[in-house]
Amino acid sequence: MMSTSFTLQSICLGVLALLFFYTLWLMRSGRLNAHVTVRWILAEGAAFLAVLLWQWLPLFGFTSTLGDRELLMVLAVVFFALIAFLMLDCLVRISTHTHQVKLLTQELALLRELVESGVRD
Amino acid sequence: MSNEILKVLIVIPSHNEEESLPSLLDEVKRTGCDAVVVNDASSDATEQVARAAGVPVLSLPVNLGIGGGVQTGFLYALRNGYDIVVQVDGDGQHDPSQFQTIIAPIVTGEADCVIGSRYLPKAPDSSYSTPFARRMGMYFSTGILYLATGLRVHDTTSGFRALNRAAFSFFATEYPVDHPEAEALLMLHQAGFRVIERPVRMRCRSGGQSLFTFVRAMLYPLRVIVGFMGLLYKTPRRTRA
Repeated sequence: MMSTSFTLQSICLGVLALLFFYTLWLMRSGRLNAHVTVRWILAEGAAFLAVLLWQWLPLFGFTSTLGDRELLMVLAVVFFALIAFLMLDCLVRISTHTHQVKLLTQELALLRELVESGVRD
Repeated sequence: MSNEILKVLIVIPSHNEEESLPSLLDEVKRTGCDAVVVNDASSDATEQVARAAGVPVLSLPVNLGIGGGVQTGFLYALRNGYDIVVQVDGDGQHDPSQFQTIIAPIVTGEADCVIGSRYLPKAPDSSYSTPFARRMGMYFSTGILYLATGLRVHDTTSGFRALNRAAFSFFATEYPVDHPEAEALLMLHQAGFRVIERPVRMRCRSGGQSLFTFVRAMLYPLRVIVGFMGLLYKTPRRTRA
């Protein structure tokens, strides 16, 4: 009979594998930029390794002194920092694209007026 | 400098202003100045109304907000050799007959940017009724602008402004986006431009809908703080080629 920790580990690895393949599918279908994909895959790989090797990671050795609640808090903070970093990376790209869209929109409006003024004259 | 030899452009940013534009454009034409309407992706007949009045239209295919719209007008003025830009809201609140009041200090070289103000203590526009939320937002931005720069501007949210070529050229390269009025003043101050106010009278909206909704008014203080922090602590960034 499988132990509870092994079952949980298998479920977590399964979820991460699904996430990994979903990320690859998004990239292959052209919905996700390759630049962003690389970072997400690295993050997913790190999470996969952490779950795979959790019994040997020093962080989990603190459970005896930290207790369950404190460990959960540490994990939540690490998880949040990782997600925040990835989100900020995406937001930088969105901001850049927003700026580029603004420039293009303005240039298009100015060029249209230039063409139409030529037609009027 | 004489006003007659200076090319003045009236920039009218408009979003769904088909009701108020015809009368405004009639008044603008009577001033003898050139005008351009910046149609910020309106869903109504704003563009057609402006074209029917014989005014050039810069039609933005996607909505950029007031900041992006006004900046498009500055770019147009820069590329067409204008000396002064007067910014007028498309909702008809700004009376074109008062253009000379805000252009005069630019012509004499007294200022680089002149704000048409409703709230100057010496000459307040007592006939103008400011909604409570907007008034609170304005007090806030006035206070924070004073704290940040020492610049005392009584009507920070006024969109009735005149700028000389140096000032609008500066804004053609970079201009804040949502509710840009207060941030624009901070940018001008940081860059060493002279900003003054002149008393004007404003009218109530003749149509359309204000962008300054209750929710936006509630978020306005936070938006101003973040915008000011961004400007005060920013590093030099890209500029338009």
